[in-house]
Amino acid sequence: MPDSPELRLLRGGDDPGEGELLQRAARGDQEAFADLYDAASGRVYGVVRRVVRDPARSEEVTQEVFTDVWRTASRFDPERGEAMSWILTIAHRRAVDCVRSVQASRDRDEHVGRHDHVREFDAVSEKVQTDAEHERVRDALQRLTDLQREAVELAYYGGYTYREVAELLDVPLGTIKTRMRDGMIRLRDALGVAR
Amino acid sequence: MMTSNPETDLHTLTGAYALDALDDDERAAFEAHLDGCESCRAEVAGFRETAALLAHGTASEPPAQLRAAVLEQIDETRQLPPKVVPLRQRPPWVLRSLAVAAVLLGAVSIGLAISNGDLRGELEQVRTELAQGRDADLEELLREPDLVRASGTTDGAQVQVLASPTRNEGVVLTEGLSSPPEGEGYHLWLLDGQDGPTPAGVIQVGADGTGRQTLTGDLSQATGLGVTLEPVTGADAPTVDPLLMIDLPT
Repeated sequence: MPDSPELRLLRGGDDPGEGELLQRAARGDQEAFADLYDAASGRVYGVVRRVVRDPARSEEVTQEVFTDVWRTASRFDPERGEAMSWILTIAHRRAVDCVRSVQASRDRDEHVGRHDHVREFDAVSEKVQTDAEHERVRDALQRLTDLQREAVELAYYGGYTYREVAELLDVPLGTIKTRMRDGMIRLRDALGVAR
Repeated sequence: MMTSNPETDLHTLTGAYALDALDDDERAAFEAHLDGCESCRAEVAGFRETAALLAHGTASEPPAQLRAAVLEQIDETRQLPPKVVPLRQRPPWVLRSLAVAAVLLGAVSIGLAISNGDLRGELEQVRTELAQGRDADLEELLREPDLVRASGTTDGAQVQVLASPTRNEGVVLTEGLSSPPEGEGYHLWLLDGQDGPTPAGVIQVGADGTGRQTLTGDLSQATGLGVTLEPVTGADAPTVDPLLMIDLPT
């Protein structure tokens, strides 16, 4: 199933360019990498900042992400997915690892109370990308049930494990797993990601 | 009676996994499961693309000084080498072609067949076709005094090379090549015994399995021709082992 029109718009016309930049970077092309940084840094920093919260640490993690991207660029396989997705997967993983290694639950519980956790979608940061991108993701998230969206957002933006989410919401583990999975299915289909 | 229990059923973790919502132990266990579960792998792949899109909505301008810091750091950071080393940097392929050439001199064939007798018959057939006026270029080529003729077979397919080094023109004719998979093609590469393989064209395979391609590249120096089957991406070096290598007599 090919990418939906919404998905193509969301990714923008630049997307094939990013794959090429990454492949060139894999061969040591630092200029291509600099261009890639320019294309990706807003989204990388944005998601890291959203998860990690602390600005100084977010900066550090963002730098680690890009160093990782440079170091492992040859592992990117264009057959398997988009360059931007590959980069953001690394970014999210590092952000989450950072949060979990730093003083585990205590700090994070202080930040995020029971009421807080469903933050406004655009609360933290100044938007760099077009409002259109923001809108599309928000619209897609609206296609999930409230419970699915809550589980997905707690995991993705909150950096919680599914066990922590289950505890936060006082819901059985199986239920949370299902909500996350079903939520991702709906999100995937809403965004038109090819299966 | 076994019922599917979400508490222990790993398949239900695909969403959580893609959201990075597993702790280290569970992540390791799930990744081990992924190795053996095609459907989970496929689902996770789609979820990963989806999750990455969630980041598109939280973009935010990083501090300006970060850019220089990043570029400075990568300047001092070693990169992982590519998994499949481009043949330009991989001597064994070249060495292998030299080895093949040596073996051929010893008249032992490793999936290659160079036989002037066979060739003469085929050339006759080509000439006959030409006589029917099908291809003036090819006819002219065949008249060249320094014409190099070589041939090889692989898996029932036959690849013939006809080339004139002085005119720097050549043609590859094939028979019995099965149609390449979607998005892939039979790439031709020229070897000159020193540098890595250079691209020389992609064989156009007809429905009847015959193929024909004008060779591009420096034929005056070529000592070998390779054929690979790989994606048509315009790459300037092969990314897979060759199906067939033909030694070009100089």
